[in-house]
Amino acid sequence: MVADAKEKAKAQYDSIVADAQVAINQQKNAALTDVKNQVGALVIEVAEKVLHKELSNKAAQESYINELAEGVKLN
Amino acid sequence: MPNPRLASRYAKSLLDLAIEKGQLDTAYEDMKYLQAVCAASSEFVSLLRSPIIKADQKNSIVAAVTTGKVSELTAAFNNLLVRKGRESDLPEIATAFVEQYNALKDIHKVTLTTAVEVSAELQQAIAQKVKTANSFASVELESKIDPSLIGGFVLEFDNNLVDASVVRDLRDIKKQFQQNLYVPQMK
Repeated sequence: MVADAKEKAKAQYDSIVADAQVAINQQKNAALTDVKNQVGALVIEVAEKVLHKELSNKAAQESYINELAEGVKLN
Repeated sequence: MPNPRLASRYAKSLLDLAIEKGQLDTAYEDMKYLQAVCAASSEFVSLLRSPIIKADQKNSIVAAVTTGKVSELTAAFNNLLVRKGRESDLPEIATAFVEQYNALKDIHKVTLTTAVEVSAELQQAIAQKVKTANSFASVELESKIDPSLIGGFVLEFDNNLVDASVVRDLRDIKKQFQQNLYVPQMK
């Protein structure tokens, strides 16, 4: 009788722990992705400014366009 | 009311007449000129579309604007339009004529948009590339400036769009950072 109850309790304990593990993992991934998104947005903002500066003179623009035109497929 | 079907019919008849008379290129130049006039002066377009101004007045104004600039054929055509009360469609007719001329001569319009102004050689080089890559007979290049592109260029031809601009790359990357798969999307 006692052994039976013990076994039941063990099974219940196991399932609760497993559920908790899954939930924790989920939360962790969500938080990580959120941080990654925020960092990504910041990086893009900075990259935009840097590119603006890099391509502010005409010579740089033209050489960049030339480079692109070489590689682009037009048909 | 702009009427595209009407415009293309008038344009086609003018095109056929010009071919018949062997004045296709002068008619083309004239229509280009009229297009430029319509683009430069919105007053001219409003005048053509105005229902208040009488036909003979319109006729003399159009004649005064175009005398010496266009050939006899085009002058007669303008006169006909005013007489038939179709002068309000003149801008559309000019556009339709240029389109039909381009289709006839196998000329393809290429629009090149860049962030800053680029040299004519570079524009020509790109136009040449488009021409050879698609085996077009000839291309007509139109260049536009759009500072929001940051860098690179956007090419448009024959309903195709080639986007090689920096802003496009940035937007593509930005998209990758916008979703979070671990947060439920439905609420």
